[in-house]
Amino acid sequence: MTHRNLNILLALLTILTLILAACAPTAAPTEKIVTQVVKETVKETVVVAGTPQVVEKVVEKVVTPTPEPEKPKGTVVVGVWQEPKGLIWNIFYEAHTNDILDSMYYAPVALNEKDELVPEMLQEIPTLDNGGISADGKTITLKFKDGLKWHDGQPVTSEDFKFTWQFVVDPNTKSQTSIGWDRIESVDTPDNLTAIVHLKEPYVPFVAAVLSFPVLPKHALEGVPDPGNSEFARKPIGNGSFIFQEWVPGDHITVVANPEAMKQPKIEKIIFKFVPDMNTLVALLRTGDVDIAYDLRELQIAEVLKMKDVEPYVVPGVAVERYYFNLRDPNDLTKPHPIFSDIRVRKAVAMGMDRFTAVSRILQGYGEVAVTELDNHPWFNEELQPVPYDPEAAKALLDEAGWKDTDGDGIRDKDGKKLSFTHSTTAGNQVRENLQVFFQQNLKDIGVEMVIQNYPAATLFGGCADNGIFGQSKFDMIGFTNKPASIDLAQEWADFFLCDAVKNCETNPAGTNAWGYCNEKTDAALKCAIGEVDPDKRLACIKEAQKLIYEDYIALYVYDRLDVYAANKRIGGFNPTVFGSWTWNFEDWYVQE
Amino acid sequence: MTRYIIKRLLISIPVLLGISLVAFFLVQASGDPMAVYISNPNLSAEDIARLEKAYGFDKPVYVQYFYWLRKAIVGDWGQSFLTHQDVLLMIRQRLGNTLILMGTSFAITLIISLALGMYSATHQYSPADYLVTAFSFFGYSMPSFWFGLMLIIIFAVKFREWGLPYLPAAGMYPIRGEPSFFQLIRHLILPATVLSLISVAKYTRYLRSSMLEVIGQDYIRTARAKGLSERVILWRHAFKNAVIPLLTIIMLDIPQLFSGALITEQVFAWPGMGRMYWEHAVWIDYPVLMGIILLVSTLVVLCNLLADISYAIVDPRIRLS
Repeated sequence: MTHRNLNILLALLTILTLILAACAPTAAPTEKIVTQVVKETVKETVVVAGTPQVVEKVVEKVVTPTPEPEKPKGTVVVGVWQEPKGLIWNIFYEAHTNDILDSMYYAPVALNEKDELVPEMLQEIPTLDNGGISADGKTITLKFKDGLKWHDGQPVTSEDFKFTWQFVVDPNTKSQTSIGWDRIESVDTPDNLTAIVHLKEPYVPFVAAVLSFPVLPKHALEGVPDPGNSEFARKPIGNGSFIFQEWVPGDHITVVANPEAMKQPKIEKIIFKFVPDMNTLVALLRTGDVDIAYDLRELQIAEVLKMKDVEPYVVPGVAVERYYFNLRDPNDLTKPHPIFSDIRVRKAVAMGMDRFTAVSRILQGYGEVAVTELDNHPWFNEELQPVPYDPEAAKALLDEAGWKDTDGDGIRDKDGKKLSFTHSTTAGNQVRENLQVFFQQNLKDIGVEMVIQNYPAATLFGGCADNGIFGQSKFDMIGFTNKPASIDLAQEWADFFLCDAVKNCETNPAGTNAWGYCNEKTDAALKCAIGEVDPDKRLACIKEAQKLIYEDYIALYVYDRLDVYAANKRIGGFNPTVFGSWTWNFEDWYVQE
Repeated sequence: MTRYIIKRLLISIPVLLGISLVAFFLVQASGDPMAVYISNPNLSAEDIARLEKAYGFDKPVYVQYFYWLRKAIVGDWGQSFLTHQDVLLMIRQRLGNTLILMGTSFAITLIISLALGMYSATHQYSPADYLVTAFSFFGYSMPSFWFGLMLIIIFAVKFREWGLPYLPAAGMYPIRGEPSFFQLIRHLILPATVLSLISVAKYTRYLRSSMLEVIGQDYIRTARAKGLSERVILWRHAFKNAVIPLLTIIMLDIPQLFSGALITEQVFAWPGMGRMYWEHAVWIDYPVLMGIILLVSTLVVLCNLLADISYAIVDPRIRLS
């Protein structure tokens, strides 16, 4: 190397050091910067005659202006029809409670506007490729972002994550849900920002399902005797974009912008106002007292369209209204169902209900005829088409199955038994009842009697001990809507169909497969959907399971409900998505005056 | 008198026990408190089994009753299954709000029905009497959820759109802005109107018939014969006697002030007892339901006693023994 080249190298090094040194003082991103020329004393390493020396020298530099961060301003009022029972997500687990908590808590992972999983508290999403998930699927490494703080100023650490797991699975917590968390064997915390999760068995929904729940503060909740009845449950300490301000029972919850939030909100305050009556809520929307309403009914869209200051938002739903066939005799669960154990009858009943007309007339076109439980989900099996309305084919199937009207009363019979079954859903729901009456007529046309027998929700969904209809499988056909709790719904979906989940009050009182469905092939496909680490193989299993369930006619998927929201036109940035709901981007909301 | 009161108080103990027993079994028979969890997709089967055990729902109902009773007697009314809060605290948080609403509407009801009832009785079969009767039955047969909603649409929505002075639709205080006494009065107008219109009929009819009966009595004729002015006859002689049977009815309505108005509170988003009862009844949250039932039935028993005592005080002919 020549002397000249060495000089150039040294000069470059000097410049580099200078730049690095100059950068240091402006590193803090929250600092307010205005255009100015700053005189600074900079320590510089200068190489004089081969030996490096540190000298101090005054430099002038122009600091480029960044746009001044706007102070959050304005208040948004959200009309909430159901008041939370408490503000700890796992103890008071309900969708509308989690909606409110979303404003106060970040989660390790979150969804973006395209419903893609993005890191929120984590530096990156753990995957097989980046080594975050081990090849056997049993170890998951979480790297948290630095600088996250609880609202009381304490740092958020990996210990908090570990504590959240212990808190959720501790029976003394009286946690409602522990789904997914109970798969954790242990959590290591080698440093403040790293948590290594060891699972008991591969559980693929972990990242999307479990990590989308908030982490709880260890320092505030550890050792609290009855957390559900503690001060924390009414006055939570979060780490998210908004800080809890007040909760007036029966009236409202207020949260205010967190000046130190990772994602800076644009509005100053959100008031969650409890309005139990839907009609009153719509009136408040119209007067402008309430800015945002959610969970509106499909038939209210027309009403909202008439308001000049309010805009409806309609998102294709993942809540699917469905009717399950009971495969077991409701009077003696050890015997097969006298009517529905024959797949031909199930298929005929499914084909005999005109869901297409029902959706266009009863729902006035607000909704779509459903295909499977995973409609509008990225995992949907496109091969499948909605069960057609085909009364002729239905009649042929029933004839083939031996159900014929021998006594001329218009209802088919076989061996002295009439082709008559009861249909049960929650009482008092106008849309559901209209659908029932419509389908009842459809079925009468093909010689099938459908008897409507509805129950209040508490009885319909009641368990074994209380003569629950669902709990004791005391139905022929049961109708309800299920909305998956997270985008990775493999587990909750599988629980409706797995053989181990077949409900039996003596041997498996906690099962959720109340219809007694058990098919080895479906079972294998569903287990693969839960445990297969390879994403492509897993997707293939999910599509396979969908097809098997569809072809077994175990349920009739009636229609996909729409998610209907309304927002005053002065609110900007309100952008509900299919899975992220309306709560994924509180920070983007703003008020136009 | 003192002996009588003590005796009545002692009798009320088995009465209340009986009420609690019947109420407990009725509440239990109306559904499964676990249903709130079962219909939740994110609860695993194990979660539900674990909770069932934690709350003691796996035990027979009579065991659950004695467990509840043992604690209730010493003043521990238990915790809500839904909110995990102490039932007594929850009742305290709502009771004031309900008393404000119910007390206001009760006072309005009494004032209006007193005026209407007296007028109607003194002008029997006049067009005005028919009008009062029609009006009171109109109010009585009005379904409160519909009537409340109509008032909201007219006075909160339409008046605002027409640029007239309007009334707030829901809550006790403005959603944005500071709570104040003036605002509370504004928020009270619509729900109190609904509640009083509904009960005005009852009191008006009672007072009217009671007055008519008294007016036909001999002593009123005597008073007239003495040449007393009509005013003195009506208010000093007739009204005082006509109001005695009404006292009992007023006393027996007092427990209602505490239990609140379920539908009206719901429609007007009033954070009161009736709404709380409804929200917890839907999910068979029996500690809360039992708490409210026990509070109200205690008041019913007490008010019955008070009604009897006050009767004896205003009407010297009645002796309690």
